[in-house]
Amino acid sequence: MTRLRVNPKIPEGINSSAENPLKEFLWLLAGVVTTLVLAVLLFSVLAQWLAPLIPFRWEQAVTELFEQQLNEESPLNEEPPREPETAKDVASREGATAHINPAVPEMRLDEVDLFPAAALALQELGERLLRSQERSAARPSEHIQYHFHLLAETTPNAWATLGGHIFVTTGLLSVTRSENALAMVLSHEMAHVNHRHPIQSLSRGALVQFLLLAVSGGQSASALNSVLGQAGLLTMSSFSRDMEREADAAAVQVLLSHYGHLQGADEFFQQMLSEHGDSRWREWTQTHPNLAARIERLKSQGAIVMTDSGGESQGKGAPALTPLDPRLGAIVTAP
Amino acid sequence: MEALLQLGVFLTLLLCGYVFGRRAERKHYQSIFQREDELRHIVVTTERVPEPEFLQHRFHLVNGSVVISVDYFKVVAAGLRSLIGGRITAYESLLDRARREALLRMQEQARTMGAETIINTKFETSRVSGNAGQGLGSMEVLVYGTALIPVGGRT
Repeated sequence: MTRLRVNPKIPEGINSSAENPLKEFLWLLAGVVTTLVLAVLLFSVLAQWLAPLIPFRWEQAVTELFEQQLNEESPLNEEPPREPETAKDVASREGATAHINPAVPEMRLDEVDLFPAAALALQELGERLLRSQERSAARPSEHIQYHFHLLAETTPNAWATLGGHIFVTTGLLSVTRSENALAMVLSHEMAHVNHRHPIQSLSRGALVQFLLLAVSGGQSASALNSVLGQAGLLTMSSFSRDMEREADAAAVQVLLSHYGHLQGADEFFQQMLSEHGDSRWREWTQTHPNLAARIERLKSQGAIVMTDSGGESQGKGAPALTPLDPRLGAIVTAP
Repeated sequence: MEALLQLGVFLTLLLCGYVFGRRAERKHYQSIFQREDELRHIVVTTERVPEPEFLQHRFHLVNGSVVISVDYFKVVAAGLRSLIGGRITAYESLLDRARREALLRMQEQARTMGAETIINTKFETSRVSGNAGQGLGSMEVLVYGTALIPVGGRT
């Protein structure tokens, strides 16, 4: 047997493929993302149908547990000092909050109810709105109970969470000049509770997390997990925007029944718009519909003269705004 | 906004991985083809026993090792593939390059010793800078064999 004098030339393409990897990559990505988005859609629709069937009592049972904890942790009990629990922690624990302002602020829960008079005024306004809600087309289902809380926090925000708990920050009171604007925000949050949105978000979030875990649990590519998570989140936030629109529409019904007009309802939105601006092109990444569209929708439903910034250009035909309760107004001037 | 930012970072990394990874791969293959032709006379076999004509030759251990990093694009492509199954072609070309480069380095070493041939060639591969489930990994290929050097050749 004669030995080789030179190494043979081995043909290419046996151990590696000459095909452009981009082609394979795009096919894979399209397939996986499409499947995932479809699955998230399916789960979201399921959550939307089934979550409202969960009895409201169960929601309340969950939040009662939390309220007990909160009372134990209150500074009155003279316990050794500990890290103050923030509302954000609680919100993430409860998993489901429907914010009017998507930026979640840090809040100390031990500041809850520092303003008893204002909190009472808020409660009374809520109850008046509830009676109007009962008269309006957006009738609440039975067993729903609302609890209104005032939080000392400068960021204007309001949100509803499990068990019918509605939180309003003092920062929101400082940017609203009329009761109508506050009533719009409150009715919006009450509509979230009424439509069982918090429990829907919670169920949807839990299902989607479960799905993502099931898909990516066995593997290590963190980058991939992040892109799959993004696809899931973007799909979910479209549902979240639908909820906001639904709550806006219900709030309009309540306001019409309560005041007979929609004057001042857009005040808070206008305020947020002038402060933060708006961007139509990135609406699809947000949990809330863009502000201009919400204002536009309000105007078309109101079918009346609406002021641009809550009172400056009140025309002859515009109905008068109801002034803010002095107890609520007092907070604004307080340091 | 946060979602958009993350998506942007991801796409940028992906694009960088693709552009630079492709460029590196193309250049590497060019270099491999060229050097394989240059070193074709250093015959590499897996024969364990030397041919009778080499019985008077000196022998020496030669080895070549190479470490190649995975790029971001390949990681993501492989991650997607692992959801479905099948050939991870992105890694196949990486392994192919590493194996051939290691052989070339061993041949290069044998040439500087004046060797005619290398027998008993073995391959080993391992993952270095083991990524422990995150980040990018890189792979090592080690090839070693026995160089047979004619007496009177260079040392």
